[in-house]
Amino acid sequence: MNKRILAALGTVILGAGVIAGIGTYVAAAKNDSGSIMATSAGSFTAPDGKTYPHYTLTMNTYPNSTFGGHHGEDGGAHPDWVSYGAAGPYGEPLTDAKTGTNFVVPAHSAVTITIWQYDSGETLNNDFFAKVRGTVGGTATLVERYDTKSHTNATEAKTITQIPHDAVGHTFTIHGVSSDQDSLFINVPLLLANDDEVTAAEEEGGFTQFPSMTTFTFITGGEGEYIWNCEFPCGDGTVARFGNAMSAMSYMSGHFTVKG
Amino acid sequence: MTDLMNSKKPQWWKSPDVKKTAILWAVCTALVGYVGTEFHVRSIVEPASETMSGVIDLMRIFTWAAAPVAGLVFAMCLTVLTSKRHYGDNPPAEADHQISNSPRANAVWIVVSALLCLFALITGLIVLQKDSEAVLESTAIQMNVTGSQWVWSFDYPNGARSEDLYLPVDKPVVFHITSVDVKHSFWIVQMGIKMDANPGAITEAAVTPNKIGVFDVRCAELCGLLHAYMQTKVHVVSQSDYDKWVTEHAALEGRA
Repeated sequence: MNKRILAALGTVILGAGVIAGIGTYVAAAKNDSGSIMATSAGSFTAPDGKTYPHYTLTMNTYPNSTFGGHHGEDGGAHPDWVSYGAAGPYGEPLTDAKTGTNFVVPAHSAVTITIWQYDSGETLNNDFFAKVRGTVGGTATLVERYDTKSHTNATEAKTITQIPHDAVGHTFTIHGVSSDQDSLFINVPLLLANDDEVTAAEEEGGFTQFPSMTTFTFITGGEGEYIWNCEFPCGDGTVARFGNAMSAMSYMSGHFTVKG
Repeated sequence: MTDLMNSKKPQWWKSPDVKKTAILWAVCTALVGYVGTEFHVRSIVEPASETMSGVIDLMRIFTWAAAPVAGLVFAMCLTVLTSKRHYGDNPPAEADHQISNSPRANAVWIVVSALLCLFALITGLIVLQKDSEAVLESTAIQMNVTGSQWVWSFDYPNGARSEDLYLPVDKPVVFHITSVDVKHSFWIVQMGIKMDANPGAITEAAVTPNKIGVFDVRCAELCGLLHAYMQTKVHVVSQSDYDKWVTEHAALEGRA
C-alpha cells in the first residue's frame, strides 16, 4: 500500500485513539453521587381540590462537609465547605449515606420536602430569593428551632411566604433549561440557625441541637431534568462568594429529576 | 528593435487558467452565497421581533457581500489544486502573465476591501440604530433584569417579580440589566437581544416583541458551575393577559 495512504490512516487512527482516551478519562473523572428516590406517602389534595400521589424527601444543610459520601466517592469531605446532605426522618445526619444531593421524584405528583438547616447565615445577594416561590399556595411551614434530641418543635410552626433577606442560611432553588419540558421553578429560603450555637457545636465536632426546619410541597409536571442549587452566597470569596462548595457539584447543588 | 516594439504585452486575462478561475469564482460565489444564507439563516430561530428580523436580514446581506471574497479564494485554491505541476528551475512560459508589483492591482484590492468594510459599517449602524429606537419610546415598559448565579429575576413596574419573563405583544420594552455577583449576559434568543449584565452597573437594551408565544432567555456569558442552566422562558401574551398577569403577581408580592 502506498506509504502516504498508510501515513494518513495511521494519523486518523492515532487521532481517534487520543479522542477515545480523553473521553474515557473524563468519564472516569465524573463524580456522580447517585440519587435519592422520593418516598411514597399516600395522596395529597391540593387547594384546588385535585388529588395527587404524594411523595416526600428529607435533607439537611450543614455548616461543613465532614463526611464525604454524600458528594460521590471522589467528592470527599471538606471541613471548610458548607453542604447539603441526606437526612433521617427527624433531621438526623446520615453520615454513612453515599448520596445526598441528587433527587428523583415522580411526574404529576405532590412532593413534600423537609429541610433541617444546621448552618448560620447572612444576607442574600438578591432579595428575590427571600420569598417562597413555586410551592403549593406560595407558602412553606417554618419551625425556627427544632429540637433534634426530643424530635419536637422548640418553637411553634408557622406558615411563611418569605423570611428577612438578611436572615437566610441557605436556599433550595430548583430550575432548569428553557426547553420543551414543563417549567419547574421552586425557591424556598431557609432560616439561619443561631450563630453561637452553630459555632459551639462545631467546636465540639457536631451540629447544633436546634436547626431551623422548613417544609414545603409542590406539584411536579411531566418528565424533566432540572437542577437545584443554593442562592445564598455560601462559598469562599472567589466568584462573588460562589467558589468552593458553590462551584462543585454535589455540595450546594445537584440534579433534580422528574420521572414518569 | 522593431520586433521588440511590435511584441504585445501578454494578455493575462486570456490565459486558460485565468478563465478557469473566473468561471470557478462565479460558481463558488453563488454556492457560498446560497449555502451561507439559506442553510445558515434557516438554522437560526424564527424571529419574534423586528430586531431579530433585522439581524437575520443583516446576516443575509453580509453573507452575500462576503461571498465574492470567499468565492475568489476557493476558486484560486481549486485552480491551483487542479493544475499540472511544473518541474524545473525556471517558471513555465505561460507564467508570464503573473501580476507582480502592480499598483493598479493593489489599488483595486484596497478600494474593494475598503468599500466592503464601509458597507458593513453603514448597514450595521443602521440596524443598530433601529434596534435602539425603542429605548426612546415614552410608552415603553421599563423592566429591571437581575442576573444571579444561576437564575434570572425580573422586576415589573407595578412591583410584580418573576423568574420567567412576561411581555405584552407589540409593545416596546426597555430592559435595565444588572448583576448581583459576576458578569452575565442577558440574551433573548428569538428577539435578537443580547446585553452584558455587569455587577455594580446598569446596561440597557430594548425590543418590541411582535409574536405571541413562548421563547428562550439564556445567559450568554460563561458565569460558573451552572451557567448552562441559567435559562428561563419569556411568555409573549396579549396586552389584556399581560395586565392580568402582572396585577396578580404584584398582589403575590404584596404590592398591588
